[in-house]
Amino acid sequence: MKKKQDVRSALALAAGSLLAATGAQAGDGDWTIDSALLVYSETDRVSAVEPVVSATRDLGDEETLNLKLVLDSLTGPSANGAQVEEYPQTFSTPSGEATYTVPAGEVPLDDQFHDTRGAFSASWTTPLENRLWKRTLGANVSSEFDFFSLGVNGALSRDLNKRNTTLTAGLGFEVDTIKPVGGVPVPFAEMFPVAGSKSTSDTEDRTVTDLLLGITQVIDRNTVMQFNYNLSMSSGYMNDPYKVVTVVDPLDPPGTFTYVYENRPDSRTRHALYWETKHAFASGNVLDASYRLMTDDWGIMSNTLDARYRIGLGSDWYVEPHVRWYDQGEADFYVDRLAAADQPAANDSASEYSADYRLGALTTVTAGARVGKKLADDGEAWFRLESMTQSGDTGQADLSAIVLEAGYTFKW
Amino acid sequence: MMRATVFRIAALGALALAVSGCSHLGVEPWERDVLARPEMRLDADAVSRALDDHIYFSKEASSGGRGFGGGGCGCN
Repeated sequence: MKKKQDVRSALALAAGSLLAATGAQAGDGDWTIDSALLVYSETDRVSAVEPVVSATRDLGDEETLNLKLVLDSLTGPSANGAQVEEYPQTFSTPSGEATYTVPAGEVPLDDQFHDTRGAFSASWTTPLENRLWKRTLGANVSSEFDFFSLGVNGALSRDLNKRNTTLTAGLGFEVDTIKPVGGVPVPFAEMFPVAGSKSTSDTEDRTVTDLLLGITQVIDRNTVMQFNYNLSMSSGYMNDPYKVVTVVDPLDPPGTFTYVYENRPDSRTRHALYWETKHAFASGNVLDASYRLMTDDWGIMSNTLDARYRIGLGSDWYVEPHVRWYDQGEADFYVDRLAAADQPAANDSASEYSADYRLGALTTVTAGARVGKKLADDGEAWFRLESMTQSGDTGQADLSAIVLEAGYTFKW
Repeated sequence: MMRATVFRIAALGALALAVSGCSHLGVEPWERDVLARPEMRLDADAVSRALDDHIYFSKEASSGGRGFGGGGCGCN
């Protein structure tokens, strides 16, 4: 109950400060406020509570300003990269100040994981030349106690063919700073002793450059289609500083394992093709289907299929069942465990291994539904409940979660 | 490398095909009644979509496609 009230007051505060910062006049109706609360809960693992307030101001003549504030609070145990073994396993906490032991047969989880994130973004869209061209400029900042990100982006779009075709080109640039708890781990240094496993540097960084090319096409009176190509190039520190790889040595007594910090390539280039179609049936129901193909130079290829079907119930209510299916192949440098013979020397940054299940073969299935009610003045209240299940080659990948969302849209 | 090149050519080819084919598609301005409904907008439910993107960004090795993949997150 206390938590609920905290969240409610946080939301109110967020909306208030967002509007105060822009000098909005309450009641003038020029702002559209989209507020939502996400509660995400994994069985036995991480839980997150994430309130969002997005405020869009119509400045007239198709000019808009959007401001968005997201808060994110995470708690609960998170997989540390080591595999399930038939023996109890002991690990050091990221700070190196304590150890924790995982019972035999259980997925090694680091229960020290907790984080609070605040993110703010702004974007401004202006029509240019006969309103056939549009320009969008945006910026975003995101902060956690061990992570800081700053980004800018810009896009130009052009309407053609009686506005039935829209071409879009966008560029984004982001700088991330990573400040791991307990310092930056030395690649392939053993988790014990802690003193030798952390480098002298406190922070690392990386840059991300994104290119987006898109075409939106009206097919007929009831159908609209979108096709995007997204190139994303990251460079810098790509490791997960909290993930280790289990090393197994047949010469060691049973139940003895060595854990070394992972190391990934220092760059990544991703290509994604995205297709989405919305079609309204004669009944008024709307099908929204999308597919994404992604491939990168880490050797990962993934497919994502998503379908939503919005069914009108009377004039105000609707229900929207949703299914999502995701499948990825493993990265070239993914391993479940390392044999002692293959264990790189500490600080051998030319070698690359990670046992993070998110880089292994993985399937995610999500299913659920959203229920909403249209309110006066383009307002809406909605609620969404979904279940997400992940599975892969190892026990780490077996994850199930509940996603709960509630949202309220109104004019201010 | 080879795969990336093939992928790029396919992407450009599809885009060119789409642009040239698109002049035959579409509707007249007075036929936009259905497309004007809020739920027919491709950017409808943006807040909810962004929440989803954040979940999947931190649980899977893929992101982006719809828009820029970033937004920033430590995501351990």
